[in-house]
Parts: sequence; structure tokens; C-alpha cells
Amino acid sequence: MTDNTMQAFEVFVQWQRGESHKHTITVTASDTKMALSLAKRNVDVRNEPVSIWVMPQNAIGRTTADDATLTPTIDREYRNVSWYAETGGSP
Amino acid sequence: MHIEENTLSIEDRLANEEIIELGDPLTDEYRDLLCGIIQFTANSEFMGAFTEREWIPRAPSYQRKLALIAKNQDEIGHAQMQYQLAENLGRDREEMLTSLLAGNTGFGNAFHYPADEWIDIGLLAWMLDGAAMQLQHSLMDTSYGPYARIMRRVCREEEFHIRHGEHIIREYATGSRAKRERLQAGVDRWWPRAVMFFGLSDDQSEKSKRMVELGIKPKSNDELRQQYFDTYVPKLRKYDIEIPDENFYYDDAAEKWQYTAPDWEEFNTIVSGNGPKTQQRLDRRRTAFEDTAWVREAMVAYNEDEKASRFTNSGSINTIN
Amino acid sequence: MSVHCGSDAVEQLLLALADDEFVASQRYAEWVTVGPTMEEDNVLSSIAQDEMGHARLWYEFLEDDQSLDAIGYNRRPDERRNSVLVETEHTDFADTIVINFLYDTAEQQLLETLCAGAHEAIARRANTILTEEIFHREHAEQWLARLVSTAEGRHRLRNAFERLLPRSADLFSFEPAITNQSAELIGIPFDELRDQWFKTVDETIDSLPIEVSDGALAAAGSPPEHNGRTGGHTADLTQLLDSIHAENLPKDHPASGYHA
Repeated sequence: MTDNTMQAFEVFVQWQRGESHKHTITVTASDTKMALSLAKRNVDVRNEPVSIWVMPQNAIGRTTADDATLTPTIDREYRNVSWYAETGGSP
Repeated sequence: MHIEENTLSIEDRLANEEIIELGDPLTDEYRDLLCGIIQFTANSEFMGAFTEREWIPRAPSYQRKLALIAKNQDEIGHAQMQYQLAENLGRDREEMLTSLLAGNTGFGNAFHYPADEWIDIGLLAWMLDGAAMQLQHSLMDTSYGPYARIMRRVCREEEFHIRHGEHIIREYATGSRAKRERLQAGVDRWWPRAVMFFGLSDDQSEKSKRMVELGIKPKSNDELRQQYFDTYVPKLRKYDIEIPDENFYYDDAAEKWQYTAPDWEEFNTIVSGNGPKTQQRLDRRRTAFEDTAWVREAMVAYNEDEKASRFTNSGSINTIN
Repeated sequence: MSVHCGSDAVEQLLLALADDEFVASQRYAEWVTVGPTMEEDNVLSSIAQDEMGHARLWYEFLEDDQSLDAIGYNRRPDERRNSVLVETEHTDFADTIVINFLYDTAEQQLLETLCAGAHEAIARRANTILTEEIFHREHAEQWLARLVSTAEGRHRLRNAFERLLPRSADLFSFEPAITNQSAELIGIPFDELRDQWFKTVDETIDSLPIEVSDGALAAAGSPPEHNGRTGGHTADLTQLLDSIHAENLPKDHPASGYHA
């Protein structure tokens, strides 16, 4: 079961200058350098990436679906532009 | 104190028309059906490339060869993305490949047949990728978000495959009489396979019905088949190609295409691993898998060496700055 | 399109480079669907397409009245000027990586001299090709470092070097018409370029934990047994050309002329 000890790497591509990196594919590789090389020819090669990041999948922390702390629960309407428009600016 | 449970069940999310994501708690049924269709579409991409690879050396011109290599690169890429998706759902890549080689998981009926002539390569790209595209396009709306995202790229690339196929078809359709005859003979071979490609009618497939209910498959087999006819009948007519089915017509009253019932017995025989080329292609893949095992073992050993050396050089682990 | 680029010697050199790329591409493409991993499969397809594209860039200089297909497809083995190294059948992934390393090292050196040369249109194309060749070199070097991680990998890699080093002896053994013009073409004698190549190869092998015999290394620097640069090819090229020519194509297909 060789693949079990190979690693999955998440690949993030910056497609345009001025834009952020975007998750694109996952590749299985022996190590970071090779993951980068493989990523160069495994992402959508019809477009030209500006930069590629790879990161071992198991190094990524993630929230769970039942994480109640993802967002504050009390309404913070005073932080939104729309609230000011609706109230016409009156206190 | 009671903290409100934030987790919705799959059914609740589907009822809310929400997209399912990797972190959501999946039921066994949902996961199994999802992995089943992912493995089927991944296997089909992979074995489709196996069908076409025989023509890469023999592609009849510079341009055709480049297009064919690029097409097959796409297909392997599609397979890779989809197997990886199933891996992220807990499946093991090597086990999935082993199961394909053992005949435990299936792949598209078209890829069990020989491609003896160059026109077969044109027809596979135009008619069969065109059929697969109906399914792939519908999967852009599957309830599983990561699968839908992959399908967006898959469909973009498949569009090129279909154009490449149609370019070959046009060359034959507007070429010498010999070429036009080869084209019609080719369609005679591949049409029934394209009709069968979509699988059994909905009333005969419990699994397909359940997948539609869970939003995994947004459209049913029959819907996709009718949609295929809508797209391809005008195209075939445009190229003066006859549809090789004397019972084929548009039924105005029923508002659908009528066709001769496919030979499902042949279909079942083929997809259960008894097609004319099934075993030969699987054997080739098995040999390749065994011959390159040492490469994967070396990759793993390199990674272990690298990890070991990283741990001895303390302080250099996972740092960004 | 036809570009006249000065002398026969230039055209002959470019033809040899184009034939290298064309033939190398066919061998890489044989990996499609049977690569060691799907990710690597895609990389090999990509390299195959790169090499086909490079061949096209050079063939376009030489076309005259012939089509790209005629010049790429419909020439007999003895009319081809590629090195026998690139026509060699890849019997193992180790062969692929060793050919990738030996050939792309040589090609990179040749292209760099062409980039620095006086012919502007050639220099421009050489530079375009060189950009993609950097990735090919990176590919070879990464794999060399990884394949030696197991005893079996070291064994296979060593065997590949033993078999392929002698076949790389013709990489710089161009016809006298070309070598006599080396100063004008590339600025330095081809022998000197070969020495540079040999030094890089020797140092790289030296840095790997494998023992390659002195005989194999010496053969790489000796007069070639088969010299593809003068049309003296091995049976591997005949096999390759046979495999790219389907016999049952309609007569008006570009590649059907080979059997006619």
C-alpha cells in the first residue's frame, strides 16, 4: 500500500496578479518539491498561473460543520452600511 | 444550558437547496452512492484514454496527434481529480485502481469496444464524449459541492474534445466518397452504444432513482438520453449522416424521441467485463501498474528520508518566515 | 511558410534538432495512461506536447514546399538526423528519466549557444524553446534524486545509464558540413560543447549513490557505434516509425504517403 504513505497536497493557484490564490486541485506526491512540479502541469494548463502554492493536506486546520463559534450570534447590524441607509442616519 | 445544535442532516440541507460540503456529516448511503458514481466517472475517463491511446502513435497528422495527446492528458487529469475526490471521502486510490482491475467497479460501455479505424477516434470524441458531456454537464449541479466544482473544469475541457471530434467528422463528411462511407459505417457501429451509454431506463434502476432523490444525480438516465438526442440529431442531419434505427422518430404527442429498445443483455454482458477489449485493456493497465510499482516505492522512501532529515534539523519544520 | 536562414549548415543543424524533438516526443507519448502515477502521466504528456511543439518551430524554418506533415512524418529512417539516444525504446521509467537527463542537458547547451548566435530569428525561437526545457531539466533532476531512494531504484537507474550512455555518443557528432561551420553557427567547436556536456553528466552521476562503469562513461565520450546525426540509426527508429504509420488510412490523409 505505497500510496498510503505518499501525501496529498492541496494546490492553490493565483491566476492573475492582484487576485488571491484559489484552491484548484489536490495532487498526490512524495514531497513538497515534487508536488509543486506536478502541480505545474496538472492545473488547468490552458490558463497561465502567476504563482502556485502547495500545502500538505494534513497540515491544514479546518472547522467542523457543527462549530457553533464560526460567527458571532448577536446581530451586529450597526457594522453594516445598509443599516445606516435604512435609518436615514437618525440615531 | 442547552446549546442549539447547528448541524443539519443531509435531508434538511437538500430540502433547503443547500450544497453538501466535505465537512458535513454524510450518511453512509449518501457517501456510498456518491463514491459509486465518482468511481464510475473516474474509471470511465481512465479507460476512455486507454481506448484512444492506441491511436496516439498513429494519429494521421501533426495537428491531430497534438490534439489527441492533449485530449488524453485531459482525460487522465479528470480521472486524477475524481479519484482524489473519492480519496478525500475516505477511499484509497490504490484500492480503487485494484478494484477497477479486478472488475469490481465498472466503466462506460463504449470503452470496452475496439477502435480499429481512425474514424472511431473521431466518433468517440464527438458522439461518446458528447454523450458523457450530458451527464457531466448535469453534474455541475450535483448536491456535492466538490464534485460540482470539478465538473466545471471537466466540462470546459470536454468542450474541446467534442470540437476536436467534430473536426474529424467534418473532414470525413465533406471528404471523398470512401471517407463518407467510413463515417456512416462508424456511426452505425457507435450509435447503439451511445444510446445505451446512459444506462437503464429510470423505472428499471432503483439506484439511479435514489441518486436523483439525493441530488447526487440531478438528471435521470432517460432525461439525459432525450437531451442527447435533442443535441445530436440535428448535428447528424447536418452532416448527412443517417441514424441507424428505423424506429427512431420524434413523437409529438409524447414530446419525446422514440427509439428501438437497446439490447440491455449485450449492455450487461459488456459492462460486466466481457467486452471485446475489456480484458486486454485491463491487462495492459495491470502490467503498467506492476512495472511502475518501484517508482512509487522510491517516492515513498524519499519522503521518509526527507521527513527523517527534517526532524534532525530542528527548527526548519513547516515555517513560513 | 518558408524561412531562409542563411546556409545549408544552419538548415542541417536545425533539421537534426527538429528530428530530436519529434522522435523524443513520440517516446514520451507512449507513457500516456501507463505512467507511474496519474499526476506524472500528465507531466509526461505535457513534455511530449512540448517536444512536438519545439519540433514544429524548427521544421517551419525548413519547410520550403513540403508540409509539416510531410517533413515530420513521411521521411525514411536514413533521412532522419536525430540522435540514436532519443529513438531508443523506453523499456522502463528509469530509461525515460535517464534519456530526459542526457538529452535535455545536451539540448539546453545547444540552445544556449544558438540564443547567443548572430541569427536573430533562430535565437528568438531557441529562447522560446529553452524556457520549456528548464522544466524538462527540473523534471529529470527531481526524479534522479528520488529514484535512488531504494535499492531497486538504484539498480534500475544504474542499468539505464549503462545502456544509454553509449547511445548518447552521437549527440554532438554532426556531419562535417555542420561541424566545419561551428564558429559561425554556435560560436564554439562542437567538441567543446560535448566536453561541457560530459562534465555535467559526469558530475551528476558522481553525485548520485550509484556506480556507473568507466566503460559506459568512456563510451559516451567516444566515437558513436551508431551515428544518427549522419543517418545511421538503430532498429528502434524503424520500429518507432512503423508504429506511427497506420496502414488503413484513406489515401488523402497526410500520413498515408509513407506506405505509398
